[in-house]
Amino acid sequence: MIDQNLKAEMQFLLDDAFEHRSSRRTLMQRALAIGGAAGLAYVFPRAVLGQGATPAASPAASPVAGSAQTGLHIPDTDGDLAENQVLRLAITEPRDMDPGVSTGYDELAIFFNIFDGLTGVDMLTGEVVPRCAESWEINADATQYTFKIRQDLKWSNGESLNAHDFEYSWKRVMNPDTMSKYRPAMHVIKNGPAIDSETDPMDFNELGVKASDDYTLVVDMEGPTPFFPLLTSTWTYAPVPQKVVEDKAEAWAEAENIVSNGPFKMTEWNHDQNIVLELNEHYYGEKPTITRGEYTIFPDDSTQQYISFENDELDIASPEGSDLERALADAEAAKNIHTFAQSNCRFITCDAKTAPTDNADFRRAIYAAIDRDTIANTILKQQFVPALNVVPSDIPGNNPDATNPVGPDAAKAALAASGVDTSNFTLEYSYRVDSTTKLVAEYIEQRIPEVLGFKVKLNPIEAAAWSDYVNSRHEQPFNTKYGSWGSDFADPSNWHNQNFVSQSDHYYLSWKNEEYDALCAKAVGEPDVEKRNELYRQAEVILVNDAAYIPVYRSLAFEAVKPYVVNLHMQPILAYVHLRYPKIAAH
Amino acid sequence: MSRSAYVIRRILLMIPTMLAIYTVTFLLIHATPGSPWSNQDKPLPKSVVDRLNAAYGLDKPLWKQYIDYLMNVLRGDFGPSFSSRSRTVSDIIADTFPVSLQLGLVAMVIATVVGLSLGVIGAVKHNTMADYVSSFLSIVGISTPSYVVASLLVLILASWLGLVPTNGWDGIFSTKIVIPALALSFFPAAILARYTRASLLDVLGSDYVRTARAKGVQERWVIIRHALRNALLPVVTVGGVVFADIITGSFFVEVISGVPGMGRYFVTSISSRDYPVVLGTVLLFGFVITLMNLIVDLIYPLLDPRIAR
Repeated sequence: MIDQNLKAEMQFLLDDAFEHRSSRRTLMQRALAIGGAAGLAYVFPRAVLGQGATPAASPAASPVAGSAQTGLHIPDTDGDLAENQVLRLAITEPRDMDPGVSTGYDELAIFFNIFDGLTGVDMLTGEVVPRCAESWEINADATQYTFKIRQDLKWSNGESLNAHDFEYSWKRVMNPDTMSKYRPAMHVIKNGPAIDSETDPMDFNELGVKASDDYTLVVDMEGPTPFFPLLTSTWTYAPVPQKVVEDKAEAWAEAENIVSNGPFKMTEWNHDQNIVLELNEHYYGEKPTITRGEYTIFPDDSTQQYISFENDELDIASPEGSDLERALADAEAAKNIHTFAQSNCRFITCDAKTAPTDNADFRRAIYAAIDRDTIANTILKQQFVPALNVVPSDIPGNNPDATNPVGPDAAKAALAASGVDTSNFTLEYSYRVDSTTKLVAEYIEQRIPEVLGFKVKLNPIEAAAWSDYVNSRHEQPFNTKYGSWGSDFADPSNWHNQNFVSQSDHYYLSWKNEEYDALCAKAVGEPDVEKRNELYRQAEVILVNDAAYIPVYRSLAFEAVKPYVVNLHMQPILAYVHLRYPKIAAH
Repeated sequence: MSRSAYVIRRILLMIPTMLAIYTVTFLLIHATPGSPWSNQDKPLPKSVVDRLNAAYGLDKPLWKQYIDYLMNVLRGDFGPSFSSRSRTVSDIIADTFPVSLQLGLVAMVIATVVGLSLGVIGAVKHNTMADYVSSFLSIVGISTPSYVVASLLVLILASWLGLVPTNGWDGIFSTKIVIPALALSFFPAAILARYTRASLLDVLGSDYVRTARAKGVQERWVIIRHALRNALLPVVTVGGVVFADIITGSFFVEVISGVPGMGRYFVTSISSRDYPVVLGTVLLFGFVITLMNLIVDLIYPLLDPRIAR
């Protein structure tokens, strides 16, 4: 039973979140209406196209600019700043402190501060901005990029950094000896997939990236990739110091060895205790106001963080579960809790190769039977929001109208239309166990028999065994299983082309819709942003209507921030604190 | 058998024990479904998983992995950590074991002082109010899990009273040790109190105690010199194992108090299928336990000279 007071507080926060979404949608429409210039100028701001370092020149024309209203934005102060500009944050123990290897654990919170890629994402606007590359050019069909690298770049040890370091670092990701866990991030670059071929792998030095001189980096793509400057802002594309990496092997990323190129450098990493970042005096750009980031390492996201925040040991924390409920129930404490929609979707995936889930009407019956409001508001205590379409609202080309009818009547009608005899049928649902998925699974187990009249058998799978289970679904039959995706970067191709098209089939559903595949193939290289987004919107209608992927809910981010932390900006994608923004106001 | 021969035999016996620990752990961890590359919401593609398996030798037949790892361990190489790339298992143990050892020693001192005192009071003041209080405290100590104790201590000492920080580690001379040390000593103190009380009560009724009293020894010395010395035999037996357990770390106490000790690696390495860390920590734990058993056996003759014969 949720306390009424808490419920009101929650509703306030949720309204806030939805408000962001609707105002963002309006902004998107405006953005699309404004776009006027021809060709690729639609797709990215001018700076992205190498026409000068003024990214704000045509922000409205950028699909990325659409996310301006989403995320967390605490305005700057007019008042005095505190003497001591130290920010105290929470983190979990990094797993792969190596940008070329990491799949994206909490080490990203460090990478975004100590490494600087060719491009970055502006946390205020969500736009791509130039960083190590001062400008770039792109050929007519978006298959070749030429990056101009800044001439004043230095590593944190004072040595100079140039285009060759980027060539080395990107090829290193594909070097088998690196044992990178994020190799597919390089697959958009020419020969990337061939290097990873299982039958006849190509040498990793054939990757289509070349420093033609010290300050020019030429990249050949596998196919048209208009969103590539977004990709180069991600951690896998960060430069790593060749000399240190070769000298120290895996231990190069320990605090006593690490050399990096971002606005901060890592000076301390006491495992399981804390990480300290300090200003990198060799950084070319503007000096951040924060001079020191102190990260306390917590064993997991939910334990103790918020209690330390309450005890004034942290300036920013991410409360979860009962701590979050407690914080929101207290009017005073709730003032410090900020919430925003995250760029993700949790869905049920259906086996399209095995009866009865090979039947689209049957899948639509499951889609209709699930009451998403009950899941998000009652079962998950309003810490999540319902999802009727797949692609989240901060991604350009998402289609909030791509939904199917819901409710018990629609479910029964779809089941009748499917012609599937369910008299002795039991639907199996496999899921990766965590506190949230378990609750949702138990709801499904109870709801489906109520509405559709057949039983559900739950098959909980431990997190460590989940990849094996999913990967073996390629050949093995199943009925339904849990699935989720969070955006890596703000482009619809990161959803459709990366996961759902039959050539990719990331979740091993064996689902194939030729019209959908054709739309996505056409959309990915389409230079006109409006046409591109429209193609993706059409594709999402097919995706949802076929219901092999049944969207259910999305998560919200909750951040506890002390009132004296100002100018803090976070985007829904990769919502980490970039220390170059915040300031500590006098308090 | 001479004393040194006995010690040598006991040390040699540790070899098959350790080998058995290694074998059982190795088989169990590999029999558990799952892989080290599978801990996120987004599953890694099969091609990446295959490459990682090949790079770390996980694609080799099991018997080959068994021999390989054993040979590496004999050379002192406990392997890489799959979930903490920049460190090896030896690095992790070198970082975390000293922390757990220090914390464990402090907790054990507290447990010994508190536990023995409570036990002696309970036995000497048998069936009085003091006995009931001491028994009550030790039952509370035994039946309250350490994570409850640790959470309560955080709430009371850190949140309400503000005496100590909520979490962290700064060596044994910092106030940060208060919560984890108290939480960790709670259970062993209670165990030691129970054993001391029971065994002291047993001894206090025996003939030689009556003799000691009859010849006019002060009651204090009867307890300390005559009764307690014998009563400590079972206490030392239990204490050795409890001590080994404490100095190798406690998952809950470390997680709640933010102590960078070894205990958490027992649990997290298993759930993340970090095979080398599982094997490394279990082998170390097994070694400490067998070593403590040996030390306990060597202490017996000091307490009871009859055992040496």
